[in-house]
Amino acid sequence: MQHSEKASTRGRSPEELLRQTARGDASAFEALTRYFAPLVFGVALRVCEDRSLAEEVAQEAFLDIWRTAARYERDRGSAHAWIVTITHRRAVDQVRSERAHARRELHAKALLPMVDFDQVAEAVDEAGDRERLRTCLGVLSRLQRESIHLAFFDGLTHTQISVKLQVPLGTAKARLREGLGNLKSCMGVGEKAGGRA
Amino acid sequence: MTGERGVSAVESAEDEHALVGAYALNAVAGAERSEFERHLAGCPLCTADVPAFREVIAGLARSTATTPPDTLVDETVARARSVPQERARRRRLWSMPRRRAREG
Repeated sequence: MQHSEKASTRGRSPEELLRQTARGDASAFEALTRYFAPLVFGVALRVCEDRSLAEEVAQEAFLDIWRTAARYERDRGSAHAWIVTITHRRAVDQVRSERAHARRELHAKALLPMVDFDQVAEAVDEAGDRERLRTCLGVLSRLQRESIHLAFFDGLTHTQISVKLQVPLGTAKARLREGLGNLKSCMGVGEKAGGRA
Repeated sequence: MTGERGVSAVESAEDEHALVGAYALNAVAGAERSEFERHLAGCPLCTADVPAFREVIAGLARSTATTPPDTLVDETVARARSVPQERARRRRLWSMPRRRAREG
């Protein structure tokens, strides 16, 4: 990935950039924004399905990050996870308020084909990580996989997921939790850092 | 793993924890979200799960990366100039920004 001279990360980790941003360092914030722009815009676009809406959501997410960078705690997880969560929450809040005005949207969206989970693994840079993610996605049950998919990529609530998959509400909740739990243990998340209270 | 159906009595006993996956995925909305956040504040089990689940989700999110519009970075940086930052303070859990109106 290429970055412009003036906003290069200069070898700084995203966590370091976030820490500098928290201290009001505008050039660190610019470098952080440039580094995460494809991911933040991509998440927003996947959920919103509209480029101009996605750009607005991405800008708002980055401004949230600028405003609240001091709340980020390294020992609670990676900068990636923090930023994805902020972006995704912005995006789902956006589409939920839109859908409240136009219920048809939800139905149209529900007919979209599922993203192939192979593409999800494909996008991971490092070959070892990619293989592992592919293997781990493979151990999920169909309901676990579909529930996670609908929640993350389509921004549905657990209530909407239970309707869409025609399962009881408790089942939808349980499959989301088990699916993430399976991925977590399969991928060894929380064993190196973070994940502890 | 248990079957895909036939949950009810057993599940309702641990209903509060059951939402942790949905919560990490931002799939809990409105009052239910705030209610779960109250549960989270006093539940070490869920407090450990949320950040771990979010790492998993961040891994899934990589597949969405897309070339952003040229204007995104410059406009964001320009807008940030007029946005004041929160100062560091004691916080609980894995704090997420809230809507500005809720800041107290």
